[in-house]
Amino acid sequence: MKSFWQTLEDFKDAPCVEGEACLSYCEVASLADGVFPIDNSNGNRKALALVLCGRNVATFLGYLACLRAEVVPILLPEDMGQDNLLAYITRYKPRYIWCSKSLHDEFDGLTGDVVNHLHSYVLVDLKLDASDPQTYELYEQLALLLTTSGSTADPKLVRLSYTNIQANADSIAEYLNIDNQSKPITLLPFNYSFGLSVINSHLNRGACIVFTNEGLTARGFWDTFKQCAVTSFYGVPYHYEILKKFRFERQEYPSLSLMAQAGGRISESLKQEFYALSKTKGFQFICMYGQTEATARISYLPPDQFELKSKSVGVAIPKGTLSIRQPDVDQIGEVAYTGPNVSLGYATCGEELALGDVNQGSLLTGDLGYLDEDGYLFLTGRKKRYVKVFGHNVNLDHVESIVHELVAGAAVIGQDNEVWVLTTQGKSDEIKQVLLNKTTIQPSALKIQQVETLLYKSSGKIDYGELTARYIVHD
Amino acid sequence: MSNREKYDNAFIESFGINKEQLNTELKYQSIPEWDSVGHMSLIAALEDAFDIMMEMDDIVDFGSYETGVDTLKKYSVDVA
Repeated sequence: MKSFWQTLEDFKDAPCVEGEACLSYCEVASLADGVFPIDNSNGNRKALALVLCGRNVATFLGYLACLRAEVVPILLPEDMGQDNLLAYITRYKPRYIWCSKSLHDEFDGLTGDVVNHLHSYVLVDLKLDASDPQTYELYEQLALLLTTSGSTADPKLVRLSYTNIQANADSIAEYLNIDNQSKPITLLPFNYSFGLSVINSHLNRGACIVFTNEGLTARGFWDTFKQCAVTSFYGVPYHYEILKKFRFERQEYPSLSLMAQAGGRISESLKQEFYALSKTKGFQFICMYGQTEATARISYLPPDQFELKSKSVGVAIPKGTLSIRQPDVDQIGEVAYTGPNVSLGYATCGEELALGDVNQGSLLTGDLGYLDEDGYLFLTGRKKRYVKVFGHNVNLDHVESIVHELVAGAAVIGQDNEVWVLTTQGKSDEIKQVLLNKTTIQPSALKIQQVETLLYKSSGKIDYGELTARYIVHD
Repeated sequence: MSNREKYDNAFIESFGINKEQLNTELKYQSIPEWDSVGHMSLIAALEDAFDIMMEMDDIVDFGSYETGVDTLKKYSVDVA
């Protein structure tokens, strides 16, 4: 079986890209094949590339070029900062970097030659110095590496295989009924598993993708949305909050036939509002759940079940199975998922890129929940200390470890869209600066609070529950 | 507090910037803090300060510190 990135040409002259540029499937295939030099001799080893993602056609072509040439991309946000980028280069020793020309021009301390360029992007060949003990070995089925959390300072990567990518694209295209008339718009970053899944699932069915690098709050986004007659909107809860603020119900987008949500818990009232709107305006509203560790998607709530199961994140996607590990008396336990889209495992250093399939198709999600008698999943919490901040996972323990480099007497707590640093030793400005540099937490989500003392459990561990109850006001 | 002070405070508090940064150069995405998240905080702060509800068209067109003054005129808010 060939994969969607290998069979782009089969869709011939059908439109593949609109918005920023207009390209057919054949043109996309041919441009992608021009990205890497024909002789990308790396001994017998597969090459590794850092792809610095913007929401643009050049990033898209670079990503497809990697898949087609069996170069393994690490997809990273283009605004991650030079220090973080250098840390990735040191840790994983990529052969190539695909990034915008302007980013390359500004980049100090980057050696290597520009060996190709396309649109506003350049391909840099780092040709690692001969004294370097060469690049790392890559597992033959390794296709793609994605970051796990919103913190780019945390260099842990999820290892995904060619099978993972194709399997998840197949399942998503099936349950969303994506066909060649579907037309999504690039609102989500490509380095984000949800954003990438939108691209993959649509290429899988020969659909056309509308490219814009504008955000929801920019005029250009909505102009492109109308001009290109976008049919499918994919957003995280925060995007739906913005739409509500816009009083989206008063706007007319006749081409819109699907609104899908993933990327964290959406409030019940917001969900109900968009479901009601979907009924009056005649589009489908679908809530979904997933993780990068499962390529992207794990479950979805079929719209015809919404009224009965609105608090559920739905049923497992086609070819997937959900179960609950070690359920308590209320049947709540850790959510486990099995399916062909379960990642190979993690990599935390270059040597681990050679690892094979550690997960073996079975994933413990770290989320807590239960299944009802019809197999619908209801989430109740997280095992570890993660919160979602505007769609990105933030590991509070990781944030706390960054803070501890500055202030020992500090704790980090949070809830969705709020990360609180409680410090007993001041240094608020320094803490804020470091966190804004080293994490992707939005300034408006970050609160620094000076406190007299932290609270501890009898075990001597910080009592995060009590601190949260005391300092974070729940709505 | 004058309307000008309320207007300035909305920017200062939403973006965590200081008064010196309020000038004609201050535009959507000209500073990292004024991204789409910051944009919505700013709109909420302005709506609170002046007790108004802005239309989607005006929210997406609210592109700079300078031109925002004109947008608010539509809501009978005079930031002189």
